[in-house]
Amino acid sequence: MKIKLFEISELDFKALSVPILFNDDSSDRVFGLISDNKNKYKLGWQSDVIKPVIKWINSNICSIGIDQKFIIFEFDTGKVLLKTQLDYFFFDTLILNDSVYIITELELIKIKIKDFFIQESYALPDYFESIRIEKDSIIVKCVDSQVININ
Amino acid sequence: MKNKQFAKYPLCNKFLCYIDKEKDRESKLGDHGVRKYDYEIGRFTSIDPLWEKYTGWTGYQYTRNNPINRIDYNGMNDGQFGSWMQVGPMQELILGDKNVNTYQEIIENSEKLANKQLINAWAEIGLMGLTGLATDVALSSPFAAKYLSIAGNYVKGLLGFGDDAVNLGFSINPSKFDYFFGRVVSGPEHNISRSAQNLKDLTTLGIKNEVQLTNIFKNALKDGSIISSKTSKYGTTVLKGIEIGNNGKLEVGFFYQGGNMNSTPSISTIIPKIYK
Repeated sequence: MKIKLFEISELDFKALSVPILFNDDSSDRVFGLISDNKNKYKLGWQSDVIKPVIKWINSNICSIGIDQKFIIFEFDTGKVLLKTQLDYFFFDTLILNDSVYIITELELIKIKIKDFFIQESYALPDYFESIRIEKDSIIVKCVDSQVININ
Repeated sequence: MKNKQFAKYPLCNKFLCYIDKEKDRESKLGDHGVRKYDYEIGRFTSIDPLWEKYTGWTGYQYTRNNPINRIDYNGMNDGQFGSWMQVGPMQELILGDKNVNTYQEIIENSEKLANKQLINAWAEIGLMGLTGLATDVALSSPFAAKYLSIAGNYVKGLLGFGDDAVNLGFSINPSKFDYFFGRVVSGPEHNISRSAQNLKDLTTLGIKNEVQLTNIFKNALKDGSIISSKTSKYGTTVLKGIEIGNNGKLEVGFFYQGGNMNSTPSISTIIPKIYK
């Protein structure tokens, strides 16, 4: 599915009558509208250097992460399947086999695609640097060069 | 004027004044930086720039008329012997008016500037428990070398760099400062971007250097409100938040190795919050 994320003004954000994916009235500085021309959703976040990461879990289920916010929802209905406030800053989303991994600064969170429940959290000893897949293992490298093996 | 401080400086001569400040040959006044000091009458010759803070005192007094127990190195602030443990005064003491941005600069400069004056000052204010040591003794080998080492280690210790750490209550890996102040410019894109965003957010909060940030960490550890506590197989991270004026809030992660809450925590991360 082809979607576009447009940055909009705060005034437009307030005026637009479309579902909100996430926002925070006290600290949002950037506002966006995500659309496939048919469905529209709005969202707000704090960081102005970093952009939201949008990943498709399947042809209709979409994930968006930015700052400490993460959501999984059905694009054609707007049904929220998972919405969580992260403890650390969001970095990326990895979709592997039957799971979604939310990668944050100091933690990986595993979510089962079957029910979208958080299955497990993996703490990192230092800031996340990179991730690679080896057979059935996920190898995470941290900034301090420590390597964590997640089975 | 004879007193404890003056008596301790046997090298005071026509070039050096009270507490080793340079003496103006014509006026014979000591140059404390912000103001000139007349050591014959024991008064500054110009009004205290911070007079509003000390309205009960004349604007010309030196160390609130308590030169036995207090000392004023720059003509701006006085402090008690042995209590100049704070990072701000320490930076000022070591570097004078020099503007520095990183602790690395302070360490380098403190090692560079660990000269007679610094040794005097440090011995005098008792930072190392060396009060009472005469200047000439301090300068003689091997004491001088020892002091040079102590000088560097003291500042390093402030950050938990060295074994001789003077306990700030927490430690921090120096590379974290790179991440907090936008100095990560290579490696994964998300780290570079987050580092740049951290710099921007800290600047918005008015936090411009490592010294300021370290002081905020100190305050957060002592007075911050606990936002969350999370335990993993590595240890426990307590996230504490502290308001930064009206601009926003800084959340600071304090990591306790092995979950030992009596140990000294290390700084694991920061989460700046900017209010609208």
